[in-house]
Amino acid sequence: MSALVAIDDVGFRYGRAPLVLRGVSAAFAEGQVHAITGPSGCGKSTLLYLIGLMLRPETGSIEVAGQATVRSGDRERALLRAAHIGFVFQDALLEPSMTVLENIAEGLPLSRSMRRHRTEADSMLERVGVSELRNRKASRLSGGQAQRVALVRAMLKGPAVLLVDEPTGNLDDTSAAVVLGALFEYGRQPGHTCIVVTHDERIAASADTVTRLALVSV
Amino acid sequence: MTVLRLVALALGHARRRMILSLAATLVAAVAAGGVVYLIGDSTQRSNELLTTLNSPSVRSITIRANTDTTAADLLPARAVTNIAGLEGVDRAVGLSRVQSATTARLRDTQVSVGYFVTATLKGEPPYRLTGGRAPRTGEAITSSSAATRLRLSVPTSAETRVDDELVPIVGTFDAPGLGAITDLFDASLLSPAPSNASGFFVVVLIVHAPADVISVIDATERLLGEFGSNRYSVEYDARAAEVETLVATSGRSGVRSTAIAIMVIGALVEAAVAFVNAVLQRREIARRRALGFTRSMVFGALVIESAVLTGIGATLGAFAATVTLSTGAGAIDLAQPLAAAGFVSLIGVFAALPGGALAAFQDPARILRVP
Repeated sequence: MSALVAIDDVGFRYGRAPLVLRGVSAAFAEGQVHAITGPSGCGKSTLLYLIGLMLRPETGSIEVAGQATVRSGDRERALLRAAHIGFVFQDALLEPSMTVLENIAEGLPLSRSMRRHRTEADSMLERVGVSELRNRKASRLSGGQAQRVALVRAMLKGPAVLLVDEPTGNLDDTSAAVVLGALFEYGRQPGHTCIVVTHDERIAASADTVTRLALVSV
Repeated sequence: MTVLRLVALALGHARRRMILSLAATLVAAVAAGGVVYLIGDSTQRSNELLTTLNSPSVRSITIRANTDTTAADLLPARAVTNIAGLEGVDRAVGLSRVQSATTARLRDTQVSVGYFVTATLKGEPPYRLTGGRAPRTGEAITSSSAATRLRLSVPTSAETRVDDELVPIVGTFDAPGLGAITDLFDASLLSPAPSNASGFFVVVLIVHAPADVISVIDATERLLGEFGSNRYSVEYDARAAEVETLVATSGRSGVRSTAIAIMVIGALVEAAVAFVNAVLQRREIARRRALGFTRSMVFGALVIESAVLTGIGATLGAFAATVTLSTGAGAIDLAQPLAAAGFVSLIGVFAALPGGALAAFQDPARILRVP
């Protein structure tokens, strides 16, 4: 299986602060779900944002969907993100004043119309059990419902790389089971990979690979 | 598709942040409306002023001999001919001494009507026929007012007695646009002057433009110099001498600076609104950036939002100002409100640039609280 994401000797720090990551290397193969774990402050989410091309590493290289990204410009990185990367944020990050469908539409690249993805969106909402909420304002969703909608928003465009930050942190068991089921199903499809940052050892145990990060010693 | 979705995003955002959107729209409406009203009102006032200044009464000069006891007291015919030929003089009319042509006793009231011999020295005759035919030497025509006062039946059987001679009245006239002597003509009878007229008691000049009045008066005084300055008087409308001052004080320069001030203040407020807008939607923009928006898409959405809101506001404001102005005098040139609306919309676009740049260049990772 080929690696959809490959990171090599990555180091990173915020401004002049001490290094958060040092010499991190990993390969995330397609058709698998990968967990990133480690103690608080070890740089798990930072690594996720580096892979998601929201941050630039201080050292090392990151390859996404076969493309080297370290030297690419902001526009190139944004377009790569739009085409190949889906984000599921820890707090769902939906726009409260928009409906579920409007929030989902925002995840599509501007060149793609929601009309053509409507059936697919309905099917995904059905899959995660919130299809009846499609016209409800995001402000009226529970945490679990919002996370499921955020998952659909990330998956609808069919990104090769799905990045998920603490997906079950604030969810009840039922919601967590639904979300994880959908994540694992998506990540294990050919041509896809799912990278999950988590504290939850049960998720790590279910993942196909686990990358454990340690605190960088100063 | 990309542009359409950007427009939809911008409109959706405008709808969600209604207060800011209303503020941007209102500012544009006030700016465009204010400018259209100021300029339109000023144009109307200027047009009214120009119409007034171009009226015959403002463009007329009346030169009058101070006494008419003897023929020597009259304005010399040669000088008058030269005056009529001056550059800037459109029309010139000479009048003989005023003679009491007819008196009649009507129900114990003595009615007196003036009689003149007139000469057309340049341009149109001093009268406009309203009935009958043009008079020849020795014939007269009467104003409608004089005919009524004297109960004359014109032109069938009317005649008047002048210096014990009967003069047939062959038509009626009105005499518009003769300045100071219009009223005098309005209650008079007149005959064409004989070709051998040696002088005139009154000469009326109508000049081409109000600005010509003073130069023609200067030239007239030179030409009448040998006649003696104490033997004649010149009357003209004082506004003609103040044309430049009147135009300057009609408000055009003040309007220009006020309009510029409105535009500048409007642009600053629009810029502030766009800036606040960008700050308020920092997280929304960061999320979009994470979902794959490029900086130019973020920038474009913000500028489009501002352009649409200011466009709507400017159109409404310009329309409201046009409606208000249309209740006043004078026609409104529709190009003016359209240009103002377009210009204010353009300002809205430029005013949104700093806010758009702020939004586009913010660090999405920092805003999304990367640990």
